[in-house]
Amino acid sequence: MSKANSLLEVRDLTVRFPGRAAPITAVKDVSFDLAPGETVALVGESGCGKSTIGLAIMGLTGATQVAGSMKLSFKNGERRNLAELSDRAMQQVRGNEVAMIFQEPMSSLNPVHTVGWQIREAITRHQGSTRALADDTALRLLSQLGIPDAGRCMRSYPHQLSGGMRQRVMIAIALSCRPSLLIADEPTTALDVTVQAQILELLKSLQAETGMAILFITHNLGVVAEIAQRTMVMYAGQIVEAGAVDEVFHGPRMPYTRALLDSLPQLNSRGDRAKLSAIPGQVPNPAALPPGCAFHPRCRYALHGLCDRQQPVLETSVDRIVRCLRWKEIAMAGAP
Amino acid sequence: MSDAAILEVDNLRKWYEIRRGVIPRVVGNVRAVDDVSFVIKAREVLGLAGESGSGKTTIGRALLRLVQPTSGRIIFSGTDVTALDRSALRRFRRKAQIIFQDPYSSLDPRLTIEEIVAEPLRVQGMEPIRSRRRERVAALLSRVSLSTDYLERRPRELSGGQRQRVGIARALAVGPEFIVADEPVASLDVSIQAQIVNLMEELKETLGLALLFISHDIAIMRHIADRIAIVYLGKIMEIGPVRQIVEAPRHPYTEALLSAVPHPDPRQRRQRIVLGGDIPSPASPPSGCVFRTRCRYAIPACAQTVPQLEAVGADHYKACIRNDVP
Repeated sequence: MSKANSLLEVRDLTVRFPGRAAPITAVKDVSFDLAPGETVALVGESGCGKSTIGLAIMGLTGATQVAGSMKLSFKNGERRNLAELSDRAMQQVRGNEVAMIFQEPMSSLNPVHTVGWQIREAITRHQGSTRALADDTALRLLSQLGIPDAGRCMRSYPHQLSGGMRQRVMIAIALSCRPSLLIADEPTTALDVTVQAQILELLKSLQAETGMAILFITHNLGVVAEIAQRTMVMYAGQIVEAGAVDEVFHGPRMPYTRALLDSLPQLNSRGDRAKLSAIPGQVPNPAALPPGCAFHPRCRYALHGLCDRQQPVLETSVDRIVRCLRWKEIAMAGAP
Repeated sequence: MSDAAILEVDNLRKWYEIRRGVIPRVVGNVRAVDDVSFVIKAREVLGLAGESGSGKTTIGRALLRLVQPTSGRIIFSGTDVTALDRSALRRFRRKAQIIFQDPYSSLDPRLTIEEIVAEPLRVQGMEPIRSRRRERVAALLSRVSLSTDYLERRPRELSGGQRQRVGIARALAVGPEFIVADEPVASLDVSIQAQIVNLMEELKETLGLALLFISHDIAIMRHIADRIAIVYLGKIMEIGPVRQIVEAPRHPYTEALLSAVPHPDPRQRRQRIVLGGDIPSPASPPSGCVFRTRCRYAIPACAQTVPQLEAVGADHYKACIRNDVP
């Protein structure tokens, strides 16, 4: 991908949280590009650092050390490094340039204000429009999001709405200032599959209309296959594999990606009650990562004396990235 | 299947009263579970699938009398569970246990793992001798692949998957014949989910357990359940062998539910049936078929009669008046 047309260029992003003894590295040397209008999925299990990346781009990581650069093309044509912006400047970025939606819409919405009040707040804060104008925009957005009786929804409090409706309201707030990048952090995880299907369709159609890019953070590989063009798989704070969704899903190179895909329950598996292929052990504690490759204690291809000693580096070929010392050997052996 | 039924549920109903006013009076009912009947055979895994608010958890809890059913009968090995007194209920719970969804909130943080797993034994007055009890707990932990190192630890020192293993060991402690597993893997990571599903499958085989496996994830059912019941708004829409339900659903709701499951293969794009709107309120369910308001095949007759479960194949039933769809 050429850097010239990238919307966001993240380089060597490292995020450290203060720990009891030493700082804990939640995200380590993460680099990627996002093109305008594309959807990239960031996948991994809990604690892998995927949400932290989203928060770092938004400047919401709190008392942490953030190193590296995150260059964003603004709507006015400027290109600036978000890591160097002041808190005040970041307030202008949040909402206007980059917006974020979260997993649990109930805890992200304010319970004591009406939905209308909250959408209006976002619009007047960021765009300085008048109340009446903001109300118009809010109404239009809600009906655009497929909310029947948008006027009534505006007068409702969050607890009066269903989970799917609340997530639509969150999306309305996020999109109210027409950001060029939407960070969606597990936006459908708390929803039922039928509602999840509605929200995914909605995000796709909104993207087609507005041309925004989406960084979709999820643990659900099924959702990745539905919504994203490219994917980045994370493990223990690092990107371990990245590429086009189709290629990664059909020819995973990093053993973790392969194991993750294999462990998924399949609706159309053959025969009755096929045994699931589980990944042994558990996700490592970021404060005490194993030496060498962080995945080696759970990896069926781990080689004693190699994988537990040497840290694999990212290998990049045309549009594929993999972090594994043995991926070529494994691929040649035609792993099952 | 030649085995006899271990559990028989007849017309189970759980309605919650809605009270209003200064002097509260009943103004309506939330029909959480409404006229549900099914059987679970010995050594069988029955999956119970549905969306939030469908009543699946309430069904599971009612079977163990953790909630008191409004009406209906639950026959377990010949006795009606709904009529048991306190002491009979305690004896019943030696045979029937539960595994909860959230391994974080279902384990007492102040107790050690040994105390947690031993608690049902204590309540039931089993293994009163301390050393024997400890041996039994250690054996239970090894059953779920946890070493005896964990005896003295507390839940906060364990990962989600390990905690769920403790929850399973606790349910197995009294040697039950039947377990309700309420979304046992929903809060776990994918790689850990598979471990726990495999463990439950293995325990079910070696101990000869019958399970009611409650989950919103139909794909998981494919790997553990023998039969599956699809519930919507407190009613069973379709029930039958997993394979038939998944490969050839006969109820419009099952069809829509299956089509909404995201498929982890970017090359397989399926026809998706997007259900409009939300699940109606169980306080005022639609007349006739409760699914008709979101059903793409609904006809005027659907509002008139409540469809009953009717056979559509071997051991396969659906509650839908239209036999020509899907």
